[in-house]
Amino acid sequence: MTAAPLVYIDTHVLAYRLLTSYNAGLQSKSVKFFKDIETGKYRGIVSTLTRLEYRGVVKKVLSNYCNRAISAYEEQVALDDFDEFLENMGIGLVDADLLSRDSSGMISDIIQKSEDILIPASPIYNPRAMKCPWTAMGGADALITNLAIRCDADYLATFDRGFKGLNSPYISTIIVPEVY
Amino acid sequence: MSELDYAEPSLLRASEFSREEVEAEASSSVNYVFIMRSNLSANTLRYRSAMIRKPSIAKVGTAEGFRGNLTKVLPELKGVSEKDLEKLIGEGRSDDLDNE
Repeated sequence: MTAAPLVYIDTHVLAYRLLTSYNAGLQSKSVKFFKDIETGKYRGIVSTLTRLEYRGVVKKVLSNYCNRAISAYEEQVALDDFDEFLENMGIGLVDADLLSRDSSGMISDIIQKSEDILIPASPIYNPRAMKCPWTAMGGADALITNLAIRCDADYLATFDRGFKGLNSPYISTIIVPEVY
Repeated sequence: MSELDYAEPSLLRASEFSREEVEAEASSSVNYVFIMRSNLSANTLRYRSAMIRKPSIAKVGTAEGFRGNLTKVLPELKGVSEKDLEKLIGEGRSDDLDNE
């Protein structure tokens, strides 16, 4: 019997689950995704870059909610929640700095190799986006996809519909708001 | 035991484990699997060396049940609507560019 597929979880999937309540639409989609992690349908993995991005989301989102710059203590509580959630859900954590190196471990090649992800990616029409309906994977998206591939992940789970343009033989996407 | 049995602490590629092996490992007190194989791919070697904490079957928390401490520290967050949440969080990185 083979192990459950490994899923690299994008930052915004965690943000919808961990920031504020989670009873309505998008939050519930994130909850349903993590239910599949909980029950063992998938195994989850994130990297230290995910945690870094989450910190950035926390600064922006919470400061907007509170209409003030959040304190270092409040930010740390949010990051502690992040760490505790990963631990409780059995989600793995890898060092993105080490994954950025080539197979020799001596040279960082992830930026160069991420171009191999971005070149074949296709722009996607997203009617939900009123101002700019055409969306596409960005450089950071390609970098994250490459990290996921280097984790040997089978899937990348994201809220970002730009990833629908990903054309890679090494990894598939789970667009959470469309699957759940 | 050979020298290879004491190789770097790591986790093998997901597909190399059965569900039973993963569950057994998750329930053990051993943090990492100490096995070395000579035919690992470059990706797998990177994954092994980069692993800080292995993925495992969840044992403690639940997807619905986790509450955390954030809303205890910032109780006003409980009243935030999903529409406001979506506006701020968006779908991903590309939203940040769109909002510039």
